[in-house]
Amino acid sequence: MTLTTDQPRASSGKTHQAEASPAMTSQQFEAIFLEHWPRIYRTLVQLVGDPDEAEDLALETFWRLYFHRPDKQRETKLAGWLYRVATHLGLNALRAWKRRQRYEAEAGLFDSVADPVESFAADEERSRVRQALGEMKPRQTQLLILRYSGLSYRELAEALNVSVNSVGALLVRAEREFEQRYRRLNPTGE
Amino acid sequence: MHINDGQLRAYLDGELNEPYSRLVRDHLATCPVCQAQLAQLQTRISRVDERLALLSPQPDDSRLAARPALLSFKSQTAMRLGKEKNRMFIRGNIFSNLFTQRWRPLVLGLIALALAVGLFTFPPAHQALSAFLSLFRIHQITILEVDSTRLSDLAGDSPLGKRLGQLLSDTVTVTKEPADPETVGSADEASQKAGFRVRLFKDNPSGAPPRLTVQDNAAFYFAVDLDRAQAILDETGYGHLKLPESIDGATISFDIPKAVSAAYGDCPTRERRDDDDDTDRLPPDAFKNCVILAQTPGPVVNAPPEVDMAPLAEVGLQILGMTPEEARNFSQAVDWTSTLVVPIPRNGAQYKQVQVDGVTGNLIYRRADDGMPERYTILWVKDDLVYALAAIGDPEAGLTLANSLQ
Repeated sequence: MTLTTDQPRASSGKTHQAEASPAMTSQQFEAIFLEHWPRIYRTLVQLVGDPDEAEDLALETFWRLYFHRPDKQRETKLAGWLYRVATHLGLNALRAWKRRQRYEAEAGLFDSVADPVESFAADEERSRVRQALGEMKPRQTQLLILRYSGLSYRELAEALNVSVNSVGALLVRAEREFEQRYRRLNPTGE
Repeated sequence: MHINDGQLRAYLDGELNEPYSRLVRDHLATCPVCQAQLAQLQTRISRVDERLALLSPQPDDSRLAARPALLSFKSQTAMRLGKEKNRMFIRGNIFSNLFTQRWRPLVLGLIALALAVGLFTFPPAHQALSAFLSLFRIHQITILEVDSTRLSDLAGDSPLGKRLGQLLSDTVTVTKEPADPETVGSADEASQKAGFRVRLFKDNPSGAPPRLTVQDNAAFYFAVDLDRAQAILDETGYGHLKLPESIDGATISFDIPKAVSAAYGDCPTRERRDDDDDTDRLPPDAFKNCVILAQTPGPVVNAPPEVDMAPLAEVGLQILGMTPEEARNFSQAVDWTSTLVVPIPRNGAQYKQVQVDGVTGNLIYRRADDGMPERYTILWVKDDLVYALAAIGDPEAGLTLANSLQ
């Protein structure tokens, strides 16, 4: 399968081939894919937990790049776009997960989403971490997850559309917020 | 004079450039307060990192490998290309197509009103407008009274409406098609399927249990083409309204979660409605004991951070008939990311805020007129769920019912 370069988009839009967006060759797309896949996938696992779902969402992220690339040429801006889309998808899934958790906790069905392979304690803690993340403002959650994924301040700034100089302070705030929420969910713990 | 947390953090991360890095280092050498603060920050970072580490994939997780993933991507893209050709290219107008049977669940999710609510309070054109505006994660509901002649400008049949639909339909990609709605036997079953706790009235009005239906979720997205969108405004007489640059190329995606409707009494059934849009023309007492309760988490729209929704909303509001001044004031007062704006025609219904189910909600009420009996809809948001209750008759009865939810 090769990606072909685009002609101007058909205005009627009826049965045009969904081709790669202008000015991106198949090599370029593949290079971007190969470079960013591991971190995108990792980010999504951190957000949604289930590796299969994370994989689906990661693929979805790259499809959006493939079909509807934004008009941003620079590599770093593109990476920022990718991370934004990925974390949006992940946060949506996290929200749905959170709702289901709340419902199942209320219905006395807590632990039904536990992975039977892992120990109960580790699973509970993972659940708490994810819940704390889910309770925070989405942008703070994004920031923490992406930072943990190893993005530099410049990359974070691109991904979240903030100035590089503000990243430090934003991180401190986000971490403080995360701790507060985590503690609230874990009163018997440390 | 001490170093602020942001700079300390940047320093710790090795992200502080010279000469600041050196200045911080020199200051730290002699300042115990800042040293302590640095230590505290470092400890917190480690703690948070430890917790986040729990979430990471296993290092031997095969999905981390990029090359196999690329192969997956390629093979699935072939399938997708096939689907793309069949994707939702809507003949005519996205709004009018929302009312075909297939997409009624989408409407329900979109505007968080029971479909029968439209039956009871709005003709379909207005509902389409609500659908268009109500694209956010809902924390509150604001009723907007508008001149009804302007409403029709955005409804399906107007030139602007048609072109808007065209703009959207050319580029809409459906990532999740809703399956047909599913009837379930109990609130528990509905909760299980929908993923949130379904609440019902304490006692069944008119004695019999409700018919419960779970509406499937849907997701779609489109990329905005600023030139085309502005051209549409220009051509339809709204050229003086300028769309914000920030929307160009933006991918805006919509997630419509599952919704549950509970129909008590004799209510219009899905099978009867089909593509028939004569929903206004019901015999006056056909459904007088019907009460419909709908609940849903509300739709979520994702726009990139650089997309500024407020100016976009201002354009929409001006199309609805506000002056630029009014539009700006209204737009600034509303949190566009969490408010469901429901426009109602000025001369069509009355509304007021009411206390319901422990929160402030909205009551939309229509007098008996034109062969139709008096009817109402109550809308409110509680615990991140949007509720709608619609029925014929006295709103007081509806409020009592709503307050009995459990």
